[in-house]
Amino acid sequence: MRDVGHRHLGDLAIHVLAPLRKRVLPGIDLLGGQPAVVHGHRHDLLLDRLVDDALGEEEGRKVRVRTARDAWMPVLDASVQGTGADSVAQRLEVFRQLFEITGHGQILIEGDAQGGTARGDYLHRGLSHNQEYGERIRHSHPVDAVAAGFAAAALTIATRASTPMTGRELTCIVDHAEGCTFTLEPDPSAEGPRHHRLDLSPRTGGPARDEVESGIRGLITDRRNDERGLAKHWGSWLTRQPVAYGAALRQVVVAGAREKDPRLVDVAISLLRDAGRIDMLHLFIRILTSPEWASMFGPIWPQPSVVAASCSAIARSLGHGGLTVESCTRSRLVVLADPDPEASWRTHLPEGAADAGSAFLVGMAMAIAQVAWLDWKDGGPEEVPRRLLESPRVRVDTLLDQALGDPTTRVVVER
Amino acid sequence: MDWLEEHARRGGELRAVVIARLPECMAWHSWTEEGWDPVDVAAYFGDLARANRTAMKEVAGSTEPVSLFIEAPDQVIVVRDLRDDMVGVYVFDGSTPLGVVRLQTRRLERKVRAHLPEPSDAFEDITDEIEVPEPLRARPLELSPEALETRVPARGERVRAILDFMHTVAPDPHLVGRRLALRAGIAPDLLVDRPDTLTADHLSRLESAACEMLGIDTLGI
Repeated sequence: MRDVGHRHLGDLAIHVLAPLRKRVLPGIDLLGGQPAVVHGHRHDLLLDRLVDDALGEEEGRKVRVRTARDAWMPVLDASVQGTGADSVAQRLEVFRQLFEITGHGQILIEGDAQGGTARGDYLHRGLSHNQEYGERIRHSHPVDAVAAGFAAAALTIATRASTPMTGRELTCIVDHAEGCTFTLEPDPSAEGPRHHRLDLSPRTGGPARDEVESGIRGLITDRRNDERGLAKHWGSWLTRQPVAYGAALRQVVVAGAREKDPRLVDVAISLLRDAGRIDMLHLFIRILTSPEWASMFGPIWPQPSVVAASCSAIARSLGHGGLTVESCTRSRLVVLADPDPEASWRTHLPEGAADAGSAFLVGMAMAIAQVAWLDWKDGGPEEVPRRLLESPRVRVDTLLDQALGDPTTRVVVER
Repeated sequence: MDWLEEHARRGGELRAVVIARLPECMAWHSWTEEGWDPVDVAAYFGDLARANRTAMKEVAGSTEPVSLFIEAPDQVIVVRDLRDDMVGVYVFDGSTPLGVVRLQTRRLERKVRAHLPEPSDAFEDITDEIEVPEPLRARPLELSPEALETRVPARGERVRAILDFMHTVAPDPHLVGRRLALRAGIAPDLLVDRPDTLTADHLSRLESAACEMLGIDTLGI
């Protein structure tokens, strides 16, 4: 084991994560005091692409770096408190571990309060981008804005820099470079870490703790990331990340669409929903047909209400809020989210700014409906049927929204 | 390990396998050893397959699937039609006996065929539970009298060609129309319902958006 000061690396992983990651309620995970969720790479890649679609490549990249930095800064700040790391080297080591443990890959950050550099190997975005798009996109701009933002936040917090850093990716594996390299420098326009004090207590009672959620959550927690710091499970490269990253970017996409043409707002929201829907479709189907699921709960019972309830438990285990299925028939699904972590975050936005609404939650509800309405009599498909990837012709209403002061967020999907 | 890599590595004689889409000659899936660029292999040998099809049709009146054998000092390259929109390129070490080349190619082709995606215009009819809307493609022209005054049919044709091309080659074809609209800043009702009314600026933005999404300089269509 490598000595990093007062603690050995083998212990450090436990010390890094244990004080940071907490499950306070069913469906809510905290990472450094901030709500955090697990997403698959299809969501992450598409959301990043949508930001670039809305803002253009250059501006999109800057916004993604800035958003990642701002989302991670309070988490890293809390991790310093939680681990007692008291030198720059120790703090950077804690952050490096945190990056790996959360499935983002390997990153080595160096520098001081005036700036620095970072090198990334096996970064989540680059690798998954090459896997999904590599042979269809000939030349790509660097895609690891999350790593750039994380590295900027890390050097800021580690050095206690008075001016927060920003990061820029110089080389990236998506453009055939051997590794990903970053430069980090002060960003005078940036603010310090913002700790959102979110009210995440359920207002209507929330879901009960159940064995399905606990079982799936255990599976995710027990599964080790590979030696590259990546977590490929059930056909998805999973990352644990602050809710603030995705929630903020969804608002950015809608605002960018509006600025181009107000008629594009609906297009942007439908794409944001699809980012959540397609990602969750893959996860729901792969988990429900996995050997692990069969060994814990037996084959899935082919009833829409049972399948929908199982999907909502999977969503809770990934930290997507206190999801419950109020009702599910063959033509109508009603999903409740209490608490709804993204809605809680949106309450911090200026009035009228939360246009993207609960786009991810709606997309997830659509995925639950699609999976519940599949024919599961023969055990269901092991992969997502191609036809399900197209946007389903369904009517979706968000009747209640916790961000607007309602007691719960309520999504109805009908066909 | 990827399914293609797993099967390609079994024999030990293969250096590259590239499955290319036609007519655009872009790699759909590949496994290559160092030194073989799947983009180049797909582009050059895809073109060769297209030329070969045309030649066979014109000269021999045949539209049957064919194979090409290319024997070079260091490589043996086999190009085989998989179906109308797919071709397989198999690169072997030059010392591999031709019988082994044929055997390996046939074995690998069986695996490849099992993994091919549905043809782009077909649906896998796994469920009848959910109706799927038409993807965001250009619809046949239905113009208002005002729009008729400003319509530019050639421009509309170009828009339709770009949308069709992008549906064929871009990642996530089910999203590509909406993403193009968002990136180019063109309202979907204009892009889809009234492509003939788009301005030259619209068309330029659409072309740029398509190029950016594919990471290329020009569309080449």
